[in-house]
Amino acid sequence: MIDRDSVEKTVADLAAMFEGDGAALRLTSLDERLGTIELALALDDITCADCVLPPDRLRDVVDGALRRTVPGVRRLVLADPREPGPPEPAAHAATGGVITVLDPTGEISPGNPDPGPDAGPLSGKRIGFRVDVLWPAWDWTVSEWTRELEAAGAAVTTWRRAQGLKGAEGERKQAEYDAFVGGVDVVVSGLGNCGSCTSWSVRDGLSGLTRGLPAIVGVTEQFETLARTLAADQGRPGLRLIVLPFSVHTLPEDEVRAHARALYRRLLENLGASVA
Amino acid sequence: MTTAATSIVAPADHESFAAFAHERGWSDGLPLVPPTPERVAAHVASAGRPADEVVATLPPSGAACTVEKVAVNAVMAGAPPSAMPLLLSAIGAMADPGFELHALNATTGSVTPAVVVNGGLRHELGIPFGTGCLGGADGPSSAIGRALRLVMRNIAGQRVGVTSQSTFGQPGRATGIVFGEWEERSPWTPLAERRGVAGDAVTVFGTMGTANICEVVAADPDVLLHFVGRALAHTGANGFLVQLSFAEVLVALNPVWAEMIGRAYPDVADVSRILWDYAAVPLSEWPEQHQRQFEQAGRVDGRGRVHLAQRPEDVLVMVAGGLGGLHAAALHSWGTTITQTRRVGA
Repeated sequence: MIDRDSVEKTVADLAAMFEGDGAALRLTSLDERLGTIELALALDDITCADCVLPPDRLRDVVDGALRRTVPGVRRLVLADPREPGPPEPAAHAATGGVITVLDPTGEISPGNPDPGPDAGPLSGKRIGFRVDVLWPAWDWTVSEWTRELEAAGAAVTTWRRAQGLKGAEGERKQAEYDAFVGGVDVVVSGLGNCGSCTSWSVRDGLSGLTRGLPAIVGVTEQFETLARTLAADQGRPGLRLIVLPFSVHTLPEDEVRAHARALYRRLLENLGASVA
Repeated sequence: MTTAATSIVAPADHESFAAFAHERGWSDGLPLVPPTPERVAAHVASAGRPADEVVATLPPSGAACTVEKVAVNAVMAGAPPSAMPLLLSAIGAMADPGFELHALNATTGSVTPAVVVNGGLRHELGIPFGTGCLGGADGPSSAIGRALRLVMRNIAGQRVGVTSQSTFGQPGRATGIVFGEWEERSPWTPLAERRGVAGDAVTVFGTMGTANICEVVAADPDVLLHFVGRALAHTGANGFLVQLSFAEVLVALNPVWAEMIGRAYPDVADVSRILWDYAAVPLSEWPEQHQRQFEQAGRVDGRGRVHLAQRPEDVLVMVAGGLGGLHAAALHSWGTTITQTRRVGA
C-alpha cells in the first residue's frame, strides 16, 4: 500500500527538477494497493539534449527518490522516449504473435502502512537501544542520545546483537532480545550501515513495532532505501527511520557525537516523542 | 493471497519477450525462455510435487515460493525439467534460518549460494565434477544455477541496488555456482554423506566466490596441505572479521592431490584439521588496530596466530576438478551462513 499524495508530491518535485532542462515528467498510472508506479518522460520542448540525465541514470534518480519518500514502492515503470520499450502485446496480436506466459514473481501482501504509536512524553519511559558489534559510531551516537534522554527523565537500556549466532546460543540470545523488547516502552534499533546489518536492524526494529511499541531504526543515508524496502517487504512500510550521515563509521568520534547531538531533535520528531 | 501463477499475454518472438520481461523486472539481462503454461506444466510434473505446494517463504519479500513459481523461473532460465527436484531441495536448504538468507540477500558482500551435488544425480543431470567444473563445462549446471538466481530475483525479491547492496557482486550471481563432487575419485566418504545425507543430495554453501590455489613442486601430502592451508588464509577473507560469529571455507582438492593426501590421511577430518591449522596468519602481520581486535576477541592461538576459521570442522573438504591436478579451489564463506545439506527427491 502506497500513499498517493506522497507519490504525487515526489513526482512533482522531480518534475520541477527536470523542467529546467525542458523535460517533462508525469505520473501516468498508480496502483496504491500493489505499490506500482508508472511515469512517462516527454522531451518535446527540449533545448539541451545533453542536459538531461542519460536514461539509466535518470531511472536511478527517480527510483531512488520514490523509494526514499514513498514507503512500499514495489515496481516502477519509467517510459523514456530515448529507450524504446517492448512492443505492446496488442500490436502483436494483430499478426498472431502473442503467447501466454506465467508470471514468475511472488505474491506479496500490500502491508500495513501504520508506523505504530507515537512515543509521546518521554519522562518516565523506558527507552531500549538495540546496538550491534559492528559500528562503534552507533555506540557513540546512542551514548549522546542517552545523555539527552536521561536528562528528559527517560530510563535507557541497551542490548547488543551479534549477527549470525546459531544453535542454542543463537536461541538464547534471541530470547534475551525478545525479553529486552518486552521490557521497554520504545525500541530504537541500529545501525543499518551495511546490507546485512540493515536487514538485521530492520528485523529487530519490527520486533518492537509488531508488539505495538513505538519503534524506530537507525540507518545511514546509503542504506535508507534498503531499510524502507525491507520494511515494506516485511509488511510494515511505515516503519520509522532516523537517517544518519554516510559514511559515519569513517568519521572521528567527536564528529560522530556532534552529528548525534544535531540529530536528537529529529529523533524525537520521527518517534513522535516529546520532552518537558 | 493466491499462490497460482498469473497468466499474462506477452509477445512471442524472443527479442520482444526479452524486452517485455526486462521491463517487468523479471530478467537478469540474458535471453529468457518464455514460461508458457505448457513448459511450466512439464517442469511441475517433473518435480513430482503439487504445483501449489509452498516450498519455502523467501526473504526479503516474504513471498511464498511454490513449486509452480520455481518451475516458471526454471523454464525462463533454460533449466531442464529433470532439475526440478534438485532446485526444490536447494531452495529448501537456502530457506533454513541457519542459512540467514535475509542477510545474505541484502549484504554489501559478494556472496552467492553455491550448490554442491552428490549422488547418482550428478550423472543423470550432467552436473560437472571434473575438468572445468566451476565454470566452462557444457551441460545444464549454469542454467540450473541461473534458475536459482531468478528465484532469488523474482520470488525472494533480491534486486540489485535496492534490496541487494552487494558492492561488487560476482559472476556466480548471474548463473550460480553448481558443481558436483567426484565421488568415484575421492578417497573419502562423499561430502553430503559425511553431513548426514547419503545418495542424491545438495549442499548449499554461501560463498564469496572461487579462488584458485596453484602448486607445482610438492610431491608430499604434508607439503601440499601446508601450502593449500596457508593459501586459504588471505587477510581480506570474511573469516577474519572479528565481528562474525563464525565462518566456513570449502576446499575442493583435485583427484590427483586427493589420492596422494588420502593415502596419508584416510580420515578426512584429519585433512580438515591440518588445513585449519595452516590457515592462519601471525598476529604480527596485521595492523595494530586489528591486532587489538583479535586479542580482545580471543582469536589469537597459543602460537600467536589468528585462524581463518574458528574450528577445524568449519573447513569443508571435497574432491572435484580435472585430472591435470596442480590446482585446488577455495570457496570462502561470507560467514554466519551455516552450510546446509538436503536430500534430493523422495
